[in-house]
Amino acid sequence: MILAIINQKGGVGKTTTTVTLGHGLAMGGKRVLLVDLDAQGNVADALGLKKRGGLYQLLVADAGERAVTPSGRMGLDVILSDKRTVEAKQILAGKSFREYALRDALDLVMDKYDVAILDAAPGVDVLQIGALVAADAFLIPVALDHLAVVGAGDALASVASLKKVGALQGDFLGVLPTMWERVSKESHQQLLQLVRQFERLVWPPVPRDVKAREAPAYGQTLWEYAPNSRALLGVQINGGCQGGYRQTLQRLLREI
Amino acid sequence: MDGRRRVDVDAAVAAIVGDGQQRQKNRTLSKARRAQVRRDSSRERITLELDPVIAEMLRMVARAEGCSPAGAANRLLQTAIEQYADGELTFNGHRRPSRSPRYEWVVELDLNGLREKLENSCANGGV
Repeated sequence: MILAIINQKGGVGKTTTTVTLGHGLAMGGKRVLLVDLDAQGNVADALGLKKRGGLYQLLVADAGERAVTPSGRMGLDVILSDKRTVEAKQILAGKSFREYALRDALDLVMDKYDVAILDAAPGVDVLQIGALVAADAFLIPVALDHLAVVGAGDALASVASLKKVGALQGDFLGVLPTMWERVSKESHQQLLQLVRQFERLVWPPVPRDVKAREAPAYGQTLWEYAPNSRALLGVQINGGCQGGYRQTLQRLLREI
Repeated sequence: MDGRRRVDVDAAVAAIVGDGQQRQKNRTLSKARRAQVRRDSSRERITLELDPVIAEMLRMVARAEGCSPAGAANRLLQTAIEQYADGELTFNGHRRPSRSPRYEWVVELDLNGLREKLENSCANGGV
């Protein structure tokens, strides 16, 4: 199963979502492969690994399993990115059927994994389109501010145009509101806006949490750095914990 | 969500949106009213229909002990529930069949003489 985490807007929590869900699934016994499609290579930072051109090797050098780096965590491997990802995109841009290049390359390694999670870069490029084509399902993290909510609409427009030409087979799992602030009026208004637009496809929001920003600085996932953080466990409402990546993970397991 | 149309949403999302709407509503209240709402929401409140004589006796106990009626009710119920759990207090002989579809029994109380007994006890400064 290949899950793409996409949104054309940057800074909405795509990498944090990818790494947190990936490690969560691996801790639950799944064999997980994370694929960093962003030349900034932030997945490596988030896992405390050295950046490496694994994606370049996979797409250009047909390296297959040699492109994969163990994360040092049970059940969790990763295909990392670095500046050479830009070069890979330029090479792909000159090729025919470039939208299918990522899917074909992943086919070479997927037999070892239950789930692959693709962390798309912001913007629209050949790799984001490739991620949508390769994915069995996709999820759109949306920071709860006006511009990011608009960005979610743009991401869905890309999806609609791919559907039109029959290139997209994946299911739209929903939108994951991130950086939710319980006390902020703006956060509440944007969440309401998403609920009106997407109804049941809105996943429980992930609270804004400084721990989520600190964890990559220590090369640790949230499960390692702050297992009791709000971003993971959510906040107390009516006697129960609501929101947070733990609920995201539960919903993901129900959906896949 | 807006009261005009029922929207099908995830239960956790519904709880969060409901909480947000309550917070928005509270923002329009005065400072004193907000403090009152905060105090109220931190309390566990239930409404029970008590026999008027029991309610009056509860107030008498509260006055004698210098505590709130809720405090008196909690203390007395604690003891009664302990006795019930130990099997010392049963409902046998204090109930008759109910015609309500919701309940099997109607509980009957024999309060004869209890009020006088309590009044005497309170007049002597409580137990």
